[in-house]
Amino acid sequence: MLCIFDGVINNPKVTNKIIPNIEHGVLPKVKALVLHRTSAGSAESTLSAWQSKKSGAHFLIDKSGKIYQTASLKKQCWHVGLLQSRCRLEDSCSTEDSEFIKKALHGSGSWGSKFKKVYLNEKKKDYPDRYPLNSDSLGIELVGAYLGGAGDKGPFEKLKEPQGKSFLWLITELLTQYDLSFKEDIYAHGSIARKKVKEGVDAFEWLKDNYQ
Amino acid sequence: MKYILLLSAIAVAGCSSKKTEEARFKYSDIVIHQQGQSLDSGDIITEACKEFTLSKSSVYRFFNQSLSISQIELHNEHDILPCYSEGTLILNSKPYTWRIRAGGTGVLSSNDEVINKICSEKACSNIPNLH
Repeated sequence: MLCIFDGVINNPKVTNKIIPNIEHGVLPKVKALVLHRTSAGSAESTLSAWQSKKSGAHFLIDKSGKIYQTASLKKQCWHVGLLQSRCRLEDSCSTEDSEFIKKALHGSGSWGSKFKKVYLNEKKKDYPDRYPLNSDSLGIELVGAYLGGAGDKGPFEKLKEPQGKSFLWLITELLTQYDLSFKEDIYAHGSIARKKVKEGVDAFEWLKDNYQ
Repeated sequence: MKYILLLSAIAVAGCSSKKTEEARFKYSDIVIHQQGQSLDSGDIITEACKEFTLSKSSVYRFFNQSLSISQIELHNEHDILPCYSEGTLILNSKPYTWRIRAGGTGVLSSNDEVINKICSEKACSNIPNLH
């Protein structure tokens, strides 16, 4: 069990590097974990970018295996973005939902506003009828560059051995801490939001192969 | 008088810097290979994305009016909407493939280079159907 004081993990494996500007409002309950990749080759470039931005995640795991906690576990981070419709991707939408999505995407307005309408419709649902939001999930970023060139479906760098070891440790601890299910409550960012398609996917596959 | 001279100098400097930008990036030979494509395979999205079409002049304007951004900026600050069109063009005598996504992001790539692009709603307000 983790030792947590006021949302900050007290453990030699975790370095406290809280960046206040990426913390936004209270995170009432953690219901899921979302896996991200940084699209950068080093932890420093991501930490530096987060210093002046509003978006970020709760943890950053470097290739060396060093785990940074960058936001309090009691605070929300803006890490999910434009969520996709879970029922559409899992082919379980009600007629009403399907009609709403069709109408939103074929309706008037900008492309951004069309996809935002779908996202706002998802926001009305409770987890797990929808994918996790910033308001009920923790974000875990793994350092790794995007290797897909100009495409949007390319891979990210493979996890380094010490990075994988730390990742496995952190996931195991967080699942226990928040009583989450490995099978049900972990998501790759690229699978649930409008981002590079494989963001977090390979890391999740690695986790499935290595989680006991 | 002093102020008039100063303003004129600023205006001239602004114009020359714009001219330099335009001179630095010369786009030509734009070919559109695929329109209305989708990253998603689901019917609802693929059908919606068919409406994402651009003219050659829109492609030309997009690349002339967009800014280059790093991969990390694209990743951290922009959504990747699933609809896109793509093709080829010549930039400064070198061939590139291009992709423009709904929402105003795009990318140019050659054998040895990937250039991510972003064009805000304001900067690309003259491109119908982009945002």
